[in-house]
Amino acid sequence: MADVDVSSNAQSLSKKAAKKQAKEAEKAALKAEKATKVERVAEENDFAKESYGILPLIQSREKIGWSRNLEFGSGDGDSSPTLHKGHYRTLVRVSELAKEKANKVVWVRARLHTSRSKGKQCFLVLRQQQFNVQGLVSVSATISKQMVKFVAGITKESIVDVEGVVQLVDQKIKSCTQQDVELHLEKVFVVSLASPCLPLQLDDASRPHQEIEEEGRVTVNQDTKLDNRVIDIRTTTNQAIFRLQAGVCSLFRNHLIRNGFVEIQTPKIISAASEGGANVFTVSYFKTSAYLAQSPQLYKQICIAGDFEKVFCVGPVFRAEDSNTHRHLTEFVGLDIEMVFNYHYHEVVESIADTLVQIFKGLRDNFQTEIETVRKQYPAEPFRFLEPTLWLEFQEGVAILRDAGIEMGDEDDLSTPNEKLLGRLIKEKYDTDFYILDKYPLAVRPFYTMPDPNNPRTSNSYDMFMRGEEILSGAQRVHDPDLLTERARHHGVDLEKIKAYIDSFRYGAPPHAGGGIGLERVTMLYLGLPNIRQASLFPRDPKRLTP
Amino acid sequence: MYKVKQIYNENLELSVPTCMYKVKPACSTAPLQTSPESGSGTDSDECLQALERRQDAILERLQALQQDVQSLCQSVCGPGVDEETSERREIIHKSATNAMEAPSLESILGKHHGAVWDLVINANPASPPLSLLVLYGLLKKRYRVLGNTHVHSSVRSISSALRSCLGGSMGQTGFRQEYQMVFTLIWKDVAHPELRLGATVAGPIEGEGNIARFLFGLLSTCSQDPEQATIVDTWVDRATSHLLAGDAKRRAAAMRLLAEALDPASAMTTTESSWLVGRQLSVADIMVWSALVHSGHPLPSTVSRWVQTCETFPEFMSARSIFD
Repeated sequence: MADVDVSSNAQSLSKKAAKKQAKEAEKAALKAEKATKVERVAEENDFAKESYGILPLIQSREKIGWSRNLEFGSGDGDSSPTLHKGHYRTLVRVSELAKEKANKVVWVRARLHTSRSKGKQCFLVLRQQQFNVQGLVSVSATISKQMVKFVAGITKESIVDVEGVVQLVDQKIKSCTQQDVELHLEKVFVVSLASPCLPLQLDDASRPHQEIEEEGRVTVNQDTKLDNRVIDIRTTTNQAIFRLQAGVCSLFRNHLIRNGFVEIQTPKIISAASEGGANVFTVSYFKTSAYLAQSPQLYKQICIAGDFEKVFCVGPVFRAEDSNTHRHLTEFVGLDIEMVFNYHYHEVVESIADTLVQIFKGLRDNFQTEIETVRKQYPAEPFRFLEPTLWLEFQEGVAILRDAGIEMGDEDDLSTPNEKLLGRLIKEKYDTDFYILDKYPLAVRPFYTMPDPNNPRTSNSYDMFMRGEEILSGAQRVHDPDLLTERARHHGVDLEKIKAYIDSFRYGAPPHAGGGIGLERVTMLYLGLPNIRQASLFPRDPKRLTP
Repeated sequence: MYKVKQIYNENLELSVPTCMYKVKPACSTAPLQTSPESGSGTDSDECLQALERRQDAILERLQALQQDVQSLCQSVCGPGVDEETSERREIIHKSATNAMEAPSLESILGKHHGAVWDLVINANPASPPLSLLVLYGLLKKRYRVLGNTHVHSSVRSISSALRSCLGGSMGQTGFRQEYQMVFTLIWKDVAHPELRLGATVAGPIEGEGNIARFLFGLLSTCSQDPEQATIVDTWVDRATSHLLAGDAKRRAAAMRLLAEALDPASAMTTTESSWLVGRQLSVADIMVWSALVHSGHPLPSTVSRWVQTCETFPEFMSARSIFD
């Protein structure tokens, strides 16, 4: 029976193969016809040959419109630019194309976002970072049919140099950022041609979720976006997100420097796991092995004991946690603060909270356009906070949860759903997305946390929350070597491994406290993004190591 | 009781398969009254009884201890202790503790589980609710109140007087548990002042007049008769709708009524007190005063005299200084 089937299959296969061959032959014939047609068209007189084409690779062959003398003015002392060999040309930014430049001839280098040809005209959208402008090529005395065809055929995302006239439009062009003008192109040159099959379309990647659901349009998977990050970060949303993230970093730095903090750099290859041992990456270090730092904790404290008083550091943090959640990365940027205080660790908490509030204020006042751009694709409530920050004790948080019906013990740590619920309850009552929870139970904190002198079951430690998720965990550190040894023994930590750590407190150490935040998590929670990978340029998680 | 004939014979011989094993019955099948024939039965029953007696004794001791602890709690902690029975006792015996003249905070603000009560008031810095500041001063005299001021992110800039109007700074929070109540004032971009009690209470209390009535209710030492209570309510309404938000005609009418009510020579005042209603300070006085200060219009002489008398009191004075 089987033999018969095989032979009949073979026969049908050969039939199928025959059909396939016939089809392919047809296709080839059609292609050949088209090619001859194209050649015929091209043979017609092309008077605009000089105005378009693919530029030879820019290998810095000539200087067009730039020279060092241009910056310092010509020899006679006036600051007008001098003409040089070649032609003089400055490229105008798309963001500057507005009514003021009407009827001027400009050169622009931008990306071809989309093009749409209709017979004798071709509409295109030129994009530069967050800005885009409409361009138009139409057959005229100076522009030939072949040129329009060429322009319509340039692949998306190619970088082009265009020269054109800025024209005012009667109706505002709603789909572009430059709504009052359009560019009537006279010359179009391709600087860098993009490959015709893009792994993802920018429009799909920046489509808001609501639109996708309502109109049933195509969406791009997060994995695809992350695999082709080079294209994904070109979307206006991502440009806005990462500019805002850069803003967070610079606001953090500037505020702390204004308040007398010193930025330090700490090593990331260390010999002993600082936080607990289970979640460290091991690297081979010549003949032995070393670990990647989980936090700059130890080195911040050594700097404090080394009389720097107020330090902060911005650097990568590596956590080998096998958690595939929406808010964990294996590598992220940590912004850590450590400072001495005079008599009470609340001095430090006020300082840290003030830093964060200043960051929020700076984002609210200076990055409103970025926030609005992100909100178009990822709608979220604007971030609300109080100044001075709402500051509750852990017991009060537990009481609020108990009032809402959650059962938990006095010394239980807050689980993630409880944290989220508490965040919602506090938002309901005080209308703030940011608050501090102070005096955590000692049992759930690491061994270097200073216990509360008035209550042996609580500790001088605090957490700060944004939108119900924890962003900062901090505490007063134990600065006495004997107490530290006792606490370490109590937690079952191997004393040999932390001998260097304990020794750093033997030569006079001031009382100090601090905490650290994650840059990506703060960005994600401030903007209300659904996943932390969207707040990291090249995220690392247990399943992703590239790009 | 009636007896039922046995349906089946209880001494049935069961053929048990050999793979099963026998276990001695845990409870005895013999009748409970000790029969002098079975010697082992007596022993076990006696042990049982002794056990029962011991259990009873322990339970009694526990009861006694519980009573002691409760009475200790009452005398040491006062009202608001997290005990159901003490709360019930409190409401029944109205003369239990010293805070008994006012209805206990617990009966108004609801049971809590160890947290401190937090009254959250959102107000617009463009029109600060002076009456609430006066009431805060009065509350402070009666209870241990912690006052906190916050500025919400919807407000870009605010005067320093408003920022520190309740006098609390961030550092006081370490001792939140020592207070009976926290008064949190948040300067926010809202249309009307609102008071939020907690997530379990539906919706906020809106309007300066309503919040003032609520806060005054926490202070009230004696219940007013219905007539006085209505007069107070009318003045509070008049203050918000006519004096503050009304057009010129309504304002003039309300002002006339006010002048009459305060005029010592007029027929409307029956007593010699300087307060608007009755002999004591009522929420009407506070609201009317607040509305007058806000509107800033010129006042007839009797009214302005009355305003000055009010401002001799420290709470009114400090609220006035913040407004200026």
